Amino acid sequence: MNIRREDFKRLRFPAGIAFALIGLGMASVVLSDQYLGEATRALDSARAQRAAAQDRVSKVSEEEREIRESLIFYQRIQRQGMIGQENRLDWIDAIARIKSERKLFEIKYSIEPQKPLDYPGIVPTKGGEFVVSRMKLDMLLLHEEDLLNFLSDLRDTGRFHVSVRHCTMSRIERGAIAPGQPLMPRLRSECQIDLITLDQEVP
Amino acid sequence: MLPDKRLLYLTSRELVAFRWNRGELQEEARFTPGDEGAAAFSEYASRAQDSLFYILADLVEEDFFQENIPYLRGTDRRALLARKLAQRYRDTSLAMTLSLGTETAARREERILYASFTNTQQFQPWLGLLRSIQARVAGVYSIPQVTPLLGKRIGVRSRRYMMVSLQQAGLRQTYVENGKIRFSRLGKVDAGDPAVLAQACAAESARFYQYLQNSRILSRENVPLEVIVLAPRETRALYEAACPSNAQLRFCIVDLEAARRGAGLKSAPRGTLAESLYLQVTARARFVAQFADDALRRFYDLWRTQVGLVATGVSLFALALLLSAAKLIQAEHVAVAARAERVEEGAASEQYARMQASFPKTPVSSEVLKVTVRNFQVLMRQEARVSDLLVEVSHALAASPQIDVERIDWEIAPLKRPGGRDAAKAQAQPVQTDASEPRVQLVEISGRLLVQQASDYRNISTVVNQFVEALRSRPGVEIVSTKLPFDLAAEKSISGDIGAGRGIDIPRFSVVISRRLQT
Repeated sequence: MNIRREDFKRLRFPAGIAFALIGLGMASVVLSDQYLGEATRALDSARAQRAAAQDRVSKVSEEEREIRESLIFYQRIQRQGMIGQENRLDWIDAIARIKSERKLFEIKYSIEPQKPLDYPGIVPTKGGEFVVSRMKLDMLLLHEEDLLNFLSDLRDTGRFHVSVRHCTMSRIERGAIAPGQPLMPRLRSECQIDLITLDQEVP
Repeated sequence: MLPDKRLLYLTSRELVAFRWNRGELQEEARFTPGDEGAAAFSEYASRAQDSLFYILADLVEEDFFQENIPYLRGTDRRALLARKLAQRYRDTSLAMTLSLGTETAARREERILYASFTNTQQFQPWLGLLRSIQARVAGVYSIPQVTPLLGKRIGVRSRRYMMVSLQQAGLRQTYVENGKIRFSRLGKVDAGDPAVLAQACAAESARFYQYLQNSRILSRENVPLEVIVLAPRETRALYEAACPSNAQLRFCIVDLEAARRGAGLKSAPRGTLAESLYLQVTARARFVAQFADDALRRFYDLWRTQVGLVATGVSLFALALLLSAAKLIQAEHVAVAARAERVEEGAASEQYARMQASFPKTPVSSEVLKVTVRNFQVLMRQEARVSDLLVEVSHALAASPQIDVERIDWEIAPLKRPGGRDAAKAQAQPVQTDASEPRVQLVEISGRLLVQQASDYRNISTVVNQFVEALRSRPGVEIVSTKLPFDLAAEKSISGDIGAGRGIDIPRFSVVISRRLQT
């Protein structure tokens, strides 16, 4: 059949009906598809939440054990006095006190500004971040034990965690000390020590 | 809602209009040629303008012609058939072609039956009126064209047969072979006396058979040709008596009433003959060909296009609704499953909350606590006491009195092999350090060798090696590198002063050792 120009007038109405029906059909398919998609997404979400909840339940004893173990470590941190704002005056006092008590020679120190601890494997977290104040320490020693004792005493002050990163000991001079001469330092040490605290409100 | 079907039975004497309604044929009007009949038909057709019109012609002036054409398809075939029709008939407005099958003799050819009404003037008044009111003319058909379909309806099984029937127009004889019409003729008979009619039926059948054979339409076979005679029930006995079978013809008298029932016609108008059967078949059949041209069928085709458009729309809409319904049902199932999941999740959460209530109280949230402790453990794994490795050095020095230590460098660094302390230092600089990379305490011991002669390389080498071995024997200590005061490599130069006293040069060395941090 050859459709003439004047035939379009007769075909306009049924064509309109056809297109309207097709449009309605497509709209219904699209809407139902969206509805199904939403329902499927809701199911996936509910399924994941259910799985997570059941997983939590199945691991509850493990979690409890983990919390108990964590608490032990946390108490250790507490005992070390690491938690809270750092108090540099206390630190300086502690260094001075150790020098005095151990009768050490000259001690020079410089403490850098505090910054987040960036050791490999440390995960930043809100509400419990480890921070570090890096201290450079120059000491004159009679012998190497002076340094070891100083570090041990520094750890025992309980204000921070002491992590020695680098230390160099070198001989200053050689030769025997004549009797009656005052004691002179024989070694020089240069160390880099990280003073680490936990920036968290004290519970 | 489908429109009514109007069947117009056209003979040379009149046009009879029937209405087809659910298997029933109802006669509505009769129109005779002439102005009066035309006016009445115009009024009738106008009233039934929305109907579909089927014209069944039963006229003498119908020509049949068979011919082979080359085997073609598509537009070439259509063009060839149109040309053939135009060559044979002066007026092709009511002509058609019918394929009788293909023949493969010397070359593949198609057997074509050409049929046409040779006197189209008899149609023109009626067709002109139908065209003027834009009636939907489905097609123009002829009794011979409908005969094979009627044969199927009433259960004729023969491959070739002759159908003989009496209509208002006269006695129609049609030869059918392989379900296709081959030839037909309409004869005038005296319908008044049934006995004469029955005898005429037998005589005309014999004559028609003879004609078919002479014109080579019917091939000579030993099997007699079956002749189906549609006879009124009341005169069937007359026909059976008048039409005895012989070597050429085997008569089969079919009761017209039984044939109507067999063909599914519920009722036929009183006074109609076999044309009611043909009309019924016409109303129900789907024809592959018919006589009307596109111009006559234009409004029927338009109607079909309109119906097709709406039907397509409705079909697609229905399909879409089905699809949507399936999706909605699926979505409902999914929603039910989601509700069940949420109920399970709620129960699990409640159970977890009950169990969590028995947990020890934590100073901070459990998550922060865990991360804090994990970080603390990481921190602990990355540190060591300076004294740990110095003690091992001290033990090694005790066994090596010729070693005089001048400097000790201690640090925590990532382990790098091979290479010495310098390499390790250089590689310890990257900004990002892998947490999984093993870290070590690294100590470089630099010192002097208290030997008699600086050029006593063997002795120096022995002293340093003894010291290195002493270090190596300490638990966990690994030797990273050793640097002697001279280089024994073959590609380097070496010099000495054998026999001289103790020189002023003091040989120096360095050893780098490491020990893994506790994990």
